[in-house]
Amino acid sequence: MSTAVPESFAEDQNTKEISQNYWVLVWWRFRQNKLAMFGGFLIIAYYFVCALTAEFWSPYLVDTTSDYLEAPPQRLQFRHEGRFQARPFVYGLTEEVDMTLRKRFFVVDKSVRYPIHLFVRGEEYRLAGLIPSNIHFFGVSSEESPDGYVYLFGTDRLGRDLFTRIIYGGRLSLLIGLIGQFLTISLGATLGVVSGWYGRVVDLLVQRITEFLSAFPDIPLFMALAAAIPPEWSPIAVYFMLTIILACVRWGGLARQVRGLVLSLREREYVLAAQSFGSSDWRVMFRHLIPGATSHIIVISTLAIPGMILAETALSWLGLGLRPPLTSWGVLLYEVSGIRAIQFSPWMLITIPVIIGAIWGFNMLGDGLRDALDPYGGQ
Amino acid sequence: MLSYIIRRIGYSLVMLVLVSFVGFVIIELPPGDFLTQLLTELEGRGDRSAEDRVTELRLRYGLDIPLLPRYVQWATNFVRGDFGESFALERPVREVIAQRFWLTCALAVASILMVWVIAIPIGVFSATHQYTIGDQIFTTISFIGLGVPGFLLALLLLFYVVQFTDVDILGLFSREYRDAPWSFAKFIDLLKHLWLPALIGSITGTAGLIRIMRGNLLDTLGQPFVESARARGLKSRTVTWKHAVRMAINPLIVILGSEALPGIIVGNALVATVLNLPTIGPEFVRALQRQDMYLAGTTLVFFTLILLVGNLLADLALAWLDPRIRLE
Repeated sequence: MSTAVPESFAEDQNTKEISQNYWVLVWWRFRQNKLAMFGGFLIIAYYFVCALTAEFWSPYLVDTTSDYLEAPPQRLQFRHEGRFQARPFVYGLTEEVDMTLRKRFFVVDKSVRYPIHLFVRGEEYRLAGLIPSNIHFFGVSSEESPDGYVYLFGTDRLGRDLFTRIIYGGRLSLLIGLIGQFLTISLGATLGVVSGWYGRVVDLLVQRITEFLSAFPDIPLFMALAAAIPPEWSPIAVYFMLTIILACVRWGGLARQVRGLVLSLREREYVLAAQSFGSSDWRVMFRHLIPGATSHIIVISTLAIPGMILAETALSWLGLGLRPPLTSWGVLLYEVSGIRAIQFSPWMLITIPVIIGAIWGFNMLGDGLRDALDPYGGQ
Repeated sequence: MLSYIIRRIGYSLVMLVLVSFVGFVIIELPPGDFLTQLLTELEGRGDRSAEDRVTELRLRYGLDIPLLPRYVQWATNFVRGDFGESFALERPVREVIAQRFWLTCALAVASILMVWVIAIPIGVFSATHQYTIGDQIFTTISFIGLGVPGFLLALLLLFYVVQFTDVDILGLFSREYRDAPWSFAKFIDLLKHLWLPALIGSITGTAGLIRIMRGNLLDTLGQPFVESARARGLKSRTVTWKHAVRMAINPLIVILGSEALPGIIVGNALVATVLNLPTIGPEFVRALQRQDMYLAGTTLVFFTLILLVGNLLADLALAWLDPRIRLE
């Protein structure tokens, strides 16, 4: 043992270099996977556009209402009367009433054109809540066409621009995935590592709890718990409560995986060495065991985030999760529940491909990470 | 084997008790009990007997006694088949569930069949034809399918049907059979309608199982016993199906019990809500929306019960197929 100590100490010195090499290897391998790179870019784009800079990309503010209620999407036009236009534009809309259906609807009015400009000045906002600005990525210029409007995805029943609302809605939906998964990791990794390290009673207890949680079908359990949130709570409190519920139900799977890894890691030389130096249990667990499980945690988490986003979507869509005035993808879908809504404002369903895009992004990224984080295996 | 079965069943029973307790807590969770609301509502309607009725219900559910004895009372009633009353529907929960029970089961069984009938052959094909165009197409499809949750797909389907067709493909029955008594013709009609919601509700499960089947079979196909079977001159078909697939399918049985089945229950519940099918799922959602907690809590326990039974069956099937597990 006396000779083993300096050796493992030397190894410990080297681990930094080795682990750097490991991440370099991971990056090389990840970069070769086109699909995974695409997924990664997609996810970064989603979070950048929706979560960070939604105000800039959307032509309006999330609660800007207009007189155009349930207006259909305006097509972006490049030709007017057969002639190509350098600047794309949208046609105006005129309201008509169908007496037999007793329904107002909009028809395209080709006599009115609203050219689309980039970087137009519009409503004031604070970018990411900090930087005041009034520049929007695109929109109609208020000097050129003062009563102009652009609704690329149509409007909802209060006359709010759906394009804007989808971008804003992504903020809450995507963040619930991120925050929820962060809580899940905190709970799952901690309990998993504790359970694997201490064994015995602790292990037994944690194992039984995870088995118990996995006995439930998760979405119905979310729904039942979410339904119990007092309706008089503020929207933000509901939001955080939902995130906590999601994490509390979902941590079991992660804990189980981490425990399995810890069981195999705890006999490794570097862990034994750390122990023989007199490191506390706490230090061994959080400095040596959890970093050893990082790659697994990353993969599992990336593949679990879509589930979180979907859970929020499903819950809010059923009216059990987030509620207006909050805007999330699920809340947007809530407004199209029912055949009548689907019949008369089907463009509200544009939210669905947007959600699916985010899920695919995460799946591609997660698959690629799984292959890349095991760079010594496979090839 | 017998001792394994007994242990396994005992374990499921313990789980069931714990699950039922959670179901009960969920019933209790919402602030302000339903009866208080009911009382004000009935009095608002000028119902004179309201107070008597509420007092009767209060006594029946023991709303004035502490939590634990109340749970015991609820559980005893539960075992006897008295699941409480749906306050919103003003009918016993048992009736509500019984009415929708068989169609729910039919949908679940159809979904599971769908998963297996689609996933296993495709998975086997993909593995035996690795990296061919066919494999790549199926892999792509299963990847896409994994990212499209059933209820969103159902919403898109609903959109398609509403906008472009007036075909009566939604629901579980054609119009003429909807309220008709059971007959052979109605059964055939059910089968004609069942495949669509079953397919949509199980899409995530199917896609997942294709991937797992492919991966497992690829692992198995590389093993020595497969090589030796080939070396003995067995037909390629026999080697694949009798030797390799039999080995590769074992983990799938566990996955069916622990991952695919919950997915199907959830998927079906959400899809059925979109398509408004006469199954338990939509009733559960409505119950939660109306805070009709006896119905909601019982349904949750009921869903979990299906899962526990599914897991139990999967484990027993696996023990039957794989002797190593029995001896553990």
